[in-house]
Amino acid sequence: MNANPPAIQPQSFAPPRLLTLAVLLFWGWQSGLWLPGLLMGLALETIPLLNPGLEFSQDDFRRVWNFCNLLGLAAVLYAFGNNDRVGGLGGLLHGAANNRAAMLSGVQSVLNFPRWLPILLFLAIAAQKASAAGLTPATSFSPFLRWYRQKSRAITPEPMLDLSYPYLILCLFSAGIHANSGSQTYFMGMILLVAWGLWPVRSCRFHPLVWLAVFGLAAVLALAGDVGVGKMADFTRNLSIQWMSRLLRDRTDPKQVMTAIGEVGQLKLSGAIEVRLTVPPGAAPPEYLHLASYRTYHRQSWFAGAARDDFQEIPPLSSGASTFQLIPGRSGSRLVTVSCYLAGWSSSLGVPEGLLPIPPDCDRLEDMPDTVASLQRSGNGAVLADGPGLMIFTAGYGTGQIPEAAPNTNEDLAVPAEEVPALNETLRKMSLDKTRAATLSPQKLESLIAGFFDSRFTYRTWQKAPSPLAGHQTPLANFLLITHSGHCEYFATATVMLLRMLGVPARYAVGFYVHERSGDNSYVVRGRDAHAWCLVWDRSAAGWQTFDTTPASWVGIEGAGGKITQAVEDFFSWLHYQAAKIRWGQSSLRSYVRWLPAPVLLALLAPMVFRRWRRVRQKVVNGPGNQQVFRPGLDSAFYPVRDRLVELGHVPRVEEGFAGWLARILEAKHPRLPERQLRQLFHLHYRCRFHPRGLTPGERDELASLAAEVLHLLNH
Amino acid sequence: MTTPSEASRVQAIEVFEKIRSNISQVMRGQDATTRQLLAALAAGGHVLLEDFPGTGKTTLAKALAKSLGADFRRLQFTPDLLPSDILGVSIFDQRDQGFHFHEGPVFTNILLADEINRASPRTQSALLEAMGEGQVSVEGVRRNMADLFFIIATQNPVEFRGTYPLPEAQMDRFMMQLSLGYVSAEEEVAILSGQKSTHPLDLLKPVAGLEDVGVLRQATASVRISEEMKRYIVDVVGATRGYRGVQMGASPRASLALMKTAQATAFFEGLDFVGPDQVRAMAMPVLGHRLVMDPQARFSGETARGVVAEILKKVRVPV
Repeated sequence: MNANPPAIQPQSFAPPRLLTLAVLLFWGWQSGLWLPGLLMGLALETIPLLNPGLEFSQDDFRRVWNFCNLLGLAAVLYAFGNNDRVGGLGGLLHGAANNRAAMLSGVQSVLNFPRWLPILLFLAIAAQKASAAGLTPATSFSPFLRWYRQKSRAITPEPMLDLSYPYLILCLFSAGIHANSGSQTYFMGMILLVAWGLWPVRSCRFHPLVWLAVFGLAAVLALAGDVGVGKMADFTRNLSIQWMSRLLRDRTDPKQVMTAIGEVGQLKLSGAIEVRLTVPPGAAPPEYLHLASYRTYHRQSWFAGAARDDFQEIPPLSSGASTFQLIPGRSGSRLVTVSCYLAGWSSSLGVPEGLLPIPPDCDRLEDMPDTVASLQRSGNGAVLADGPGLMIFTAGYGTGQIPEAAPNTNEDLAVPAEEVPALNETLRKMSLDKTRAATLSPQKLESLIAGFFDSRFTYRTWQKAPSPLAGHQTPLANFLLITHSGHCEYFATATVMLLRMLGVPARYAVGFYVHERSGDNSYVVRGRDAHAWCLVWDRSAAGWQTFDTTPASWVGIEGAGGKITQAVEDFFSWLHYQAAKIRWGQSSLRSYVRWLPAPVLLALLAPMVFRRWRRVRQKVVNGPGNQQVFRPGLDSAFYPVRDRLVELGHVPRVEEGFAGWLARILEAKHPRLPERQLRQLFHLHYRCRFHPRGLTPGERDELASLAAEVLHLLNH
Repeated sequence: MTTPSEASRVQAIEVFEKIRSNISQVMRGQDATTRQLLAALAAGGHVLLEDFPGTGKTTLAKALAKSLGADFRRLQFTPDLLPSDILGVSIFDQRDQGFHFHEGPVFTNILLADEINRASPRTQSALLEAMGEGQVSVEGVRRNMADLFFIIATQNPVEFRGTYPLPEAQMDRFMMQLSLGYVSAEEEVAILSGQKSTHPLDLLKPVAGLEDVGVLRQATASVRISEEMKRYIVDVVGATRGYRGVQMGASPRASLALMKTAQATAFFEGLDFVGPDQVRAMAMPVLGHRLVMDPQARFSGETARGVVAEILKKVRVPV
């Protein structure tokens, strides 16, 4: 029995019939959860037809809302805390097939949480529809509001909310996050549903055609805005790609890389931090972080050549181990911890994918996250990882042996025919040819070439348009013979071509140059530290060696482009990094998150326990019966009979009153319902509750015995 | 408040039953409305009958008057009716060279104000003091009405030309607004049969006197009502204030009227206390005519009675 004062509610705007079902079906269609959508929609449409008119108290609403909150919290934590193991919330319906699918499902469940909001809030809206008032008390949602009303001893009616339309808006929002049928389909569906919802509450002062015209205009403007924002986003994204990380973006593909050779204008690179390194105290970081190397040069692009599809899976040292050996039998003494993002996406595995930036002579990867779905290595030394979007691992290196396939004379000595004249001319200036090169030691040869570039060439990120006098020279020839200036891609490509002309196998390598310290033992690598260099085959050592001919001044020139706001950007980059660590399970914080429900549950349960304790204590202190001062008859023996009648389906309706309810019960002609006793029982209870003097002791006994008799008849 | 003896309670019940059965000889199929009319009489209020022409508004008023054997006057409201035509006027008498007050039709026991909305607001307002305070002030002299002063006003809801809607203050002074509605086909056939030769109204005899009405009113006032029920009444009436689409809600006078009519209804049902069923039964006739709706809500098809019905559904009923 509710002991709260009567609530007075404003009128609610109930959505038109079947709109709720339509919106939930639309949500189910868009988010791939059509079955829950159908079931929930049918339930919400059926409840008003049944008109249960349940007398929910404010406490009941509060409990339902708290339960929804707990459900939401549990869903978030479950999806988040288990994204690498059991597949998250998505697994509840779809099941987790295997580890990879589980990870895919888990990652999606974290990202897709809003998709589940209609399910999580279903109980709240169902309770409202099943309640007699058809509205939800506003204080259900806010302990602060409850506290404020209690404190201010508010005598105004309890503010009531209608959740029907907000729930529908939430469903549309939720459907919009995972529109799997194209944004236009979603947009059109949303427009139709919104029109359906607004039609009944339109102003009758205007002709429906006027309303339709205005709504249509609003829809067209919204569509224009939607398209405009999309175009703006595309424009910004394109600008960002061109402006910030051109080289880096190209290098993420291990099969080919398009260089900026031959492009006119300023080459700008981003100052965003791409990689973070940590080295043991006192140790130096690796000079280069290698991503991939390429063998064939054609029209300003480098291609992987024969190594294009030779990626092979690297198994862990043992099942479940976190160490992967890149060069069997080798174990370098130097260690560096690398944190990098996997910016690509594997459509087959459905997880982030990317090349790992590792030292060129890296022989093993330790402490790899156990969520790594796949780790592959190509003949070009590229290590391709599929797994969490943020990878943190330790690379072992220092043996000097670069794990690349042995030279292939067809590819590693190939020079495009159009580049040969300029290369010959350059070699002539260097007084070098194949015969002389054969007599020189590798160190001497490298020294000659490096000295040549260092003395006659300059590093520059600005390229002016080629002179008309230069004729139809290739960009590389233009660099070698005319401009004598360019960025690292020019130097690395030219060096590879010159070495190949001299009969020395060489490859074009890309990655990062490490130079910026960010702490005692940590370093950061920015987008503008992206670099290109050569790999030279050392016959005597039977291995590849790095060879960089880019003038050393390039680091200073690139660094000069740093902005004043770099510190602010670095701070946000750090925040993003910390968030990514939590998101991708690379932080110990995640283990604490699992325990987060405990204090929340405690905070929710403690007031309930306290209230219960206080109620029991008050009963003990005051004795029974003192609570009947203002609402007499609350201890009437009739209430168990009432509850039993409700269980038997005779739910009292709000609008019918006591006499109406009794009449309806008697109309049902229940074989176990004795009419005379029931009428007398109702009369006595009515008198007990509403007569200011209540019942005499004798009448109370009569009420109790009648109630026991009727209850007995109803139970048997 | 004095508590009547069991004998006076029985007498009051008999009075009610006699009047009800007497009226039912004339008003067929209108038992519910008759009970509500008698509830207003027992509660000391006035009634506004609003219905289509020919549904028996005037007949009901006449039947009540005849049943009581009280002084009855009928006043046909017209646009040119003046306040003095209702209240009375002082006329110069040449014989004694002085002014003498000639009482108007308002000085009676039962006044049938037929088609009250045809008079101008000025004339309608002449009844305000009489209805509210049981007195009239004419030319600075206060004159009391009879102990039993019961106005039954009628108006037609479909005609608007040449009519003046009653001011809110006057609407509030009517305890109830009732409507008779059309009776069933069988009842209508019975009406035809009953009036084939003579009108049953002509045959109606008085069954109670003015003192019997006093007994009825005293018995009604003795019906008990708990604090919880008073709170329920206040909640229902309070909900009309500020309700969506309602420009002006019901007044505390409405709460009083609801309580008194609920007492009367409980008494008619043989109860000596008021329960929620009696309050709910009286809410519509007592509150329906007092709400002033927003023009926007009116255009949207919302009515004051619809609002009262919604409020009755939403305000939690004590069980």
